[in-house]
Amino acid sequence: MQGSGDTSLNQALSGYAARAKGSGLAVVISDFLDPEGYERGLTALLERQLEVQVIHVLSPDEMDPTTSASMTGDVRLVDHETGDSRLLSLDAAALLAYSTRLEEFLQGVEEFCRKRSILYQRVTSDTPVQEIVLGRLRGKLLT
Amino acid sequence: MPIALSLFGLALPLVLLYFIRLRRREQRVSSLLLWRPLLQESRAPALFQRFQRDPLLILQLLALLMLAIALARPVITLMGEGERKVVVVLDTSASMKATDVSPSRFARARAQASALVEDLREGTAVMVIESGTQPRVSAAMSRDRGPALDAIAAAAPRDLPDRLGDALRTAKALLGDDKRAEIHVFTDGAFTEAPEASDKRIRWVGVGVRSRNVAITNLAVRKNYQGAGNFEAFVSLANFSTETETFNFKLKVDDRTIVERAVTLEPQVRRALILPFRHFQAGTVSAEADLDDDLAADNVAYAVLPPPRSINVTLVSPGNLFLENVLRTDPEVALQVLSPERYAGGMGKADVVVLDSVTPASIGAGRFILVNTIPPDIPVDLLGVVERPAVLDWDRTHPVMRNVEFSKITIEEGMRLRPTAPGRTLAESIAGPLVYALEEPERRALLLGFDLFKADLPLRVAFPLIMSNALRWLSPGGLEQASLQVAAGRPLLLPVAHGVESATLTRPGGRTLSARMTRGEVSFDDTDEVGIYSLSTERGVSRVAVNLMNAEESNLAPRRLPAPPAEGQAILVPIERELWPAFVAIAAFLLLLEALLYWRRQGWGVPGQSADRLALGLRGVLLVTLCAAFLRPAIPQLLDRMNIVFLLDVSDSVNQVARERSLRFAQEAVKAKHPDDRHAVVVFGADAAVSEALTGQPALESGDVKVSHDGSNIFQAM
Repeated sequence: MQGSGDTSLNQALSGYAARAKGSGLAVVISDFLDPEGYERGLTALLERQLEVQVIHVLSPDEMDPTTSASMTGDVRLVDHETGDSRLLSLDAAALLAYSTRLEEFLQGVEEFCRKRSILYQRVTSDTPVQEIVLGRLRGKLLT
Repeated sequence: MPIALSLFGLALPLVLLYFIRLRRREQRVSSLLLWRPLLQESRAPALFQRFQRDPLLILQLLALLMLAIALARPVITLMGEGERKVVVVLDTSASMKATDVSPSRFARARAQASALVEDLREGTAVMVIESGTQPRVSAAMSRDRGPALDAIAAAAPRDLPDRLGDALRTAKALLGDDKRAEIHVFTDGAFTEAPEASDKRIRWVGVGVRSRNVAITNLAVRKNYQGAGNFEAFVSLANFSTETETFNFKLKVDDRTIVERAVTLEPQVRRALILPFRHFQAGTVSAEADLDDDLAADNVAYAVLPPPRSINVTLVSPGNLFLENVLRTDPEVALQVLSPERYAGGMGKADVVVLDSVTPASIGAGRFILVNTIPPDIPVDLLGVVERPAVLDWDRTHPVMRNVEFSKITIEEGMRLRPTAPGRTLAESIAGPLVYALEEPERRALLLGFDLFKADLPLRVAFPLIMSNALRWLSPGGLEQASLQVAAGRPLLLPVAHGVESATLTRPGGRTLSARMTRGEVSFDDTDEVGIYSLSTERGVSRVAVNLMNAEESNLAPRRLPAPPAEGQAILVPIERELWPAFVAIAAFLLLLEALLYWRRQGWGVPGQSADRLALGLRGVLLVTLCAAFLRPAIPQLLDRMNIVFLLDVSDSVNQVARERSLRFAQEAVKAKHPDDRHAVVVFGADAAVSEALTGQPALESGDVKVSHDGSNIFQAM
């Protein structure tokens, strides 16, 4: 399965909720990096009486931009999905601000899930699928 | 200036580079969501906004502007005290060797001068002049005090009379009318002329506390003609002390003591001694006052007794009893007479060759008396004869014409001569020279342009006088007694034998130097040490005595010197200050700020990208280069062609020997110059004139220019 197209997580999840019949399990695998948010979509799934489980996937570069040699100095950041670009000087202050923002974002998603009894698991994209499915998610997400 | 300011035009490519740089280094991310708070708000910022938001570019542009202004070298004119100039004049005369202050007057003066220079404020320009035989600038005007302190430390007193006036004139000439300049003169005041008080720039610093000195102020040795080998020594002694002095006096010839006696002199008393003695060889006479006073240099005086000598003269004549008789009666002449057939030119072993009405094919180099003949290789044109030429005038100053009365000489027929080489007309008629002294580098000759049998000269007293004078002018080593003794500081002029090409001069201290020769004479003017100077040539050794014998120097009584002028109100003068260092400093500061900002963006570490490392490195190099500008580095430039201008000082303070030496130096320098080099000559005294305009000629051809000799206006010359 290949990811493509613009992200509209709320729209996708709400659409699925509307189409789903009966109860069941909904596993949402996403980076939740949607400017319109994710809350409305997840709430729509819960209202449809689905058991929702979340696998939050982020790339290692996103978790720690300093691991990439090219993420220093003056750069033009290009949004992979929208193609939008911005200028940025990546100095120590900028990286610190990014880390703070990332932590707030991750905490926000996890807190949203915890309050609604949504099982939440955070993984990085370089983790092998076997390790995720057979190791870290065994007995948690998929029973 | 416009070219320098156009450097700011580099701002354009800098801005272009900035925008090119903005399009580089794209980094793709999943989403801009997490970066949003850090991102610039506008998707496509306006040009002006981009400028506003990149402090690096702004700093770079400002630094570039500062550098452009610095290169334009702006100046600001302020009214202030201006640069302070201090000239240190050190009296190096003999009296400064006096030991009435410990360790000596000169050492004390030197210490005071050093202290003055060390205490000068930073930025004060200082120059050092030593007053020797000629004033010598031993450290040129400079804000660097090191050379001045070195020059003061290296200065030493010499056995010379004081010529402080010349040193002061030099200092004033070099300072011009700079009213803020100061001339500090360190002296004991032992000089004849009154110390100058009119120039308020002069500060007199006196050394010396007393005068306890006995001096030999004169020593002259003369032949006593009452018998062979009889001499008389005239000695003048003077006591410049305030107390009576008793001491042992000796007169010696070589190592033989002629007279030894105790002498007592009352204060400020002079006494003359006449001491006869006999001596038959060459020798050195020394007079010694044996006492431990404050100045040792004047406790001894020397004189030289010349060796008995003869002048080898060859007379080539068909027969002339006048000439033979006058030569044979000269006690110093060894005469050889040759018939014209036996003479084929040249000198043979003779010191002087006399040709009488004999014209060989050539005579070559040497010393000649030519009577009624002009050999073909002599640079004199024979234009015919002149009947009964009347003597219009004669040169009374030339050595050949000394004591010669020429007014009543009658000549029946003379040669009409036109010299084509340097020389002096000694007697002339309306038709040209009758007696001519020819002086060429390798030949010296006296020309008598008439037949002795057709003139009454041989019957006059003038004839033996002319011949005697001529032989001694032409003959080497023809020194008179007085010539063998000179005062310290005066030039030595020693004639040398024909054919002698090199000579070695040995000073009293034993130091030897190669002597320079011009026109058959050795000239030497560094007679700054009392004692016997020896001149060695392949023909033998000549000796000359150099004595202080200067009462003014020996009188050590401290003189009253003018008080320093009262400190007046500071004179304000317009001062131009260059501002480029300030602009370079601002540019360096801006670039340092920019580099730090850039480095901060790189996380204060070594940048990961090679381009970033290069950019950071270049910033460092640029900063170091700007800081190096403050050290004012200079690159010596090698040029293939030079324009050389010789400034020849012909003022009265420069003696004839020194003038000759400077001219000779210029001549040799021009001979040795590169073919592409050009030279010019400016002669100066109180005013200056171009003697030879800039030319590429391989030899010096100074024109005959007239300048006033009573001053040294080196500024006009420059």
